[in-house]
Amino acid sequence: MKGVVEIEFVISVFVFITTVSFVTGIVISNLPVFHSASTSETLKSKSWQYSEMLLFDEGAPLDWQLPDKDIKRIGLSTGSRYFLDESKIIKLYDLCSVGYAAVKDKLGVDTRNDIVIEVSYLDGSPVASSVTVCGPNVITQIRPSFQTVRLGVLNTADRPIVRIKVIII
Amino acid sequence: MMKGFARIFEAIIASVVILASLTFFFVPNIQASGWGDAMIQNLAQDAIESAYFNGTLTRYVKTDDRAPLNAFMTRMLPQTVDFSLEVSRTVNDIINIVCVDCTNDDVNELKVILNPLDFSYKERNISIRVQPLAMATNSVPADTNILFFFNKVLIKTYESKINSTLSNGGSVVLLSDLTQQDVQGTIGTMFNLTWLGTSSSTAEFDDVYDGSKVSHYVARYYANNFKKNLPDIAADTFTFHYSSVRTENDLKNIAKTPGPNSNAFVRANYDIVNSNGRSVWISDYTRTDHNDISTKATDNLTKASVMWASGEKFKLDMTKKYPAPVNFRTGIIVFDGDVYAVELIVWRIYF
Repeated sequence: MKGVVEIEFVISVFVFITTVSFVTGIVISNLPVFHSASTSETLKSKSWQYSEMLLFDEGAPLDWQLPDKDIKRIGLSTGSRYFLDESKIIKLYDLCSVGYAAVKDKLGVDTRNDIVIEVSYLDGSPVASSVTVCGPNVITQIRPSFQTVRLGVLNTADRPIVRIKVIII
Repeated sequence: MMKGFARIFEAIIASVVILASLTFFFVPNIQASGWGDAMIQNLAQDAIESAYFNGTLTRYVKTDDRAPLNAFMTRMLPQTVDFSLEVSRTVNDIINIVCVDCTNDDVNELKVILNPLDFSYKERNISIRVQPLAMATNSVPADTNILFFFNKVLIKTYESKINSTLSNGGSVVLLSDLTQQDVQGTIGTMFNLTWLGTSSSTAEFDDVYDGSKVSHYVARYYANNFKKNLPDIAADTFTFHYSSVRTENDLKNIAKTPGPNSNAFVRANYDIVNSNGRSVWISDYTRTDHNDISTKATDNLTKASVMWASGEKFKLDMTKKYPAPVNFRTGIIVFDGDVYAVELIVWRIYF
């Protein structure tokens, strides 16, 4: 009776294959959930890091906002904690208007991500020519994004409070 | 034949059970990261720091201008949170004193001791308000900061009511000479006093410079009332009737005779009931002529002690607010002529 398989064997193989398929299916279906959560956490972390860098770091060189400087790193701080340099905000706006990609590179943003930086007074009016100081020309609405809002003081005579919003996409 | 089908049927049931149980183990379990809470806390810290560096916070604390301060903070914080601002380590802007079982003469005497009742401290307007209270028949008003006693016997009589006030963060001040029996009874416990035996009548500040001691804070208020600086008043002396109360090797002596194991004349106590409440005992002194230089100095010491006993904690809210069970506290130490702490308490409206 070689070549003849008993019905018990057929059923047991069927049950085994079904079980393995089921488990594999569950694991695979969970992957997007974990990936989405991981991406979300990464975005939050990056958004936080860039907000810290922009608010508390002066950039390199310290006077990078001046003409003909070889900009290595961008930061908006005057050097005093919570104080922001108005001229650096305006310079960042100018740089971004000319080439977002170059600024993104100076900020060290991953090629897979985009960054949007908004700086405004508490009443919503812009510090530079526009509230959006830096960002890509086209912003997708379907990619996940996360924003961190920070507050600082502008280094002008009346020391107004400004809101910095950093959105990582 | 039937045996074979029974095994197959059994195997199918077992596999269904196994598959069903597997779904339990493969449910994605993602822990909440707490970013939402962190962001609110961080924004609150940014808000209070920015308001301080911007100058707005100190300006409104000085002027006690609560409406614009609250409006200012509202603009900085998200609309989904509510907040409360608390100032501590400096004298309250309004000090409500209840003079327990006092006659009109007692109330007037207390007002003369604390004169002027409206004054400024480091550019802040402070107001002391004194009212009598028959404690046997009335409850203590909710906004009372200090229960003031001229009569030491009443401390024992109203012990439970006083403890209730202390438990709620209120204070008690006693201006009276004490006997050994007083010190070894309820008064000794409440005011943290022990008996020395030998008596003396002149005192000076324990330490005007050590920021960990109550005497430093009282000395600051004392110096301000005389419009002087701390070094100018460090050697000021005060004359009392007598005192046989012992100074302790702690932070609570305010006025005493110099040296160790000396006589205490003004002593503070704090965290008395449920880690709340302050008390000050002041040895009595000759109060017949409040224009006398010596009496003026001791009156001012009493007033400065009352300022410390105010609790040194007050809110800058528009209305009485009750923070949600889950709330976030963030604060800064403000250096602005005076040194004090401002805390911002933030909580979600929907929790």
